[in-house]
Amino acid sequence: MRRGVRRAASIAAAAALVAAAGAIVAATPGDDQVFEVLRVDGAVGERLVGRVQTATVTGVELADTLRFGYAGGTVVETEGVWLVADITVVDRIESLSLTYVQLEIGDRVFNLYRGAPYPTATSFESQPGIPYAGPIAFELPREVLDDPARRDARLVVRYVPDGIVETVPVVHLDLTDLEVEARADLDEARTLTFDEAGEPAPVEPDDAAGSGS
Amino acid sequence: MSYPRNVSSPPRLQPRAHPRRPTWALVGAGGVLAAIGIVAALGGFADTPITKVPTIAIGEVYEGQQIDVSIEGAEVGRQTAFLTADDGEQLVIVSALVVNRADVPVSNRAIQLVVLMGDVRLLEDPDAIVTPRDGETVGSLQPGVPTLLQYVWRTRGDVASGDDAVVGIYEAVPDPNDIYDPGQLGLPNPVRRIELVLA
Repeated sequence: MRRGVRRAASIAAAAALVAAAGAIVAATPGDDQVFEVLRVDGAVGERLVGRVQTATVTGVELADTLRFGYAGGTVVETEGVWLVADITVVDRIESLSLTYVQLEIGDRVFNLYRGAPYPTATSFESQPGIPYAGPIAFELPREVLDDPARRDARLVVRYVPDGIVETVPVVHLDLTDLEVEARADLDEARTLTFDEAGEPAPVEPDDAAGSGS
Repeated sequence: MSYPRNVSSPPRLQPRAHPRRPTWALVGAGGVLAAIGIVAALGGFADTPITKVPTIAIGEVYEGQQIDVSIEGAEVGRQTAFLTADDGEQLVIVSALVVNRADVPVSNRAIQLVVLMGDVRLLEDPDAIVTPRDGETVGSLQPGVPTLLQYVWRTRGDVASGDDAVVGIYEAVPDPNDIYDPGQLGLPNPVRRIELVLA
């Protein structure tokens, strides 16, 4: 009798160990999760704070053509459609770049358009702690205008490519109600200051004169 | 030395009667023969079929695994809207229309071009891959957007408008056996050729 009890206890203990091992394996994140960025989600107008960068998207538009307002008015056309987002960024620790910002629509991922002459927000030489603002653009295929996933497009403000654990702002965009304009302007980026509430604000002419720049 | 009378002299040592061991030369020869046999069994001596890369026309689309591409033309010149040849150089410019059918941006290395013009051979790695609309240097192709690209090579070779040329399209696709980066492109392979006259 005692031997039977002991054997049953051994079997139960072994089963418990196997179950515990399975639970540990199931709970262990895979490579995709280990190396995925940590997203700080928000909507247009929200100031999203990552560890190294804060981002606020203040407006979004769609357009057939893109115009560089500061570079002789060059107009760039596309077979698709342009998405232009006005973004305000503060690099919190060191000077970073928006080069790796991506737009996700459903399972599709789009890189930032990098063809605009310097200095757009894409190529802006920022200073840590000093906010700057400007439009960024994405070239999208025309069919995204009929894609149901456009209701929740995601602007991922990453400063590095995949493969690093970092908090990044992710701005959710609803593109369903946007009309496609004939033209969107891609203006140069500009430095901002902070208002009394600590929010990024345009530099007043007096401030600019006082700064000596 | 003498032996006692009643003791016979020790027997003479005779070589033992056993087969000779094979020499190392025989072992080596056997190994070579075995290797040849294995190679033959695996088809190593079979004739390798040599197939010519299919030829397509200017403007005809090659549908790749990720990228569709058509060659729209090739020309020789001294400058483009965004590049100028140095003294003694000419620019060979091949225009290609590409569409990325994948869901994610794909490196421009997925489609590579070569240009053969007599003794002048312009192989991979052109000096620039740009969009003629704005001069953007294209590193990756956006999903779903047809994009006209200019592949530009600088050459000091003897080429001129009216010369015959062959443009070869090479395709590189992600290597599924790359355990470290499954999205990494493998080596490019020739997939199509276009015979044309330089403008």
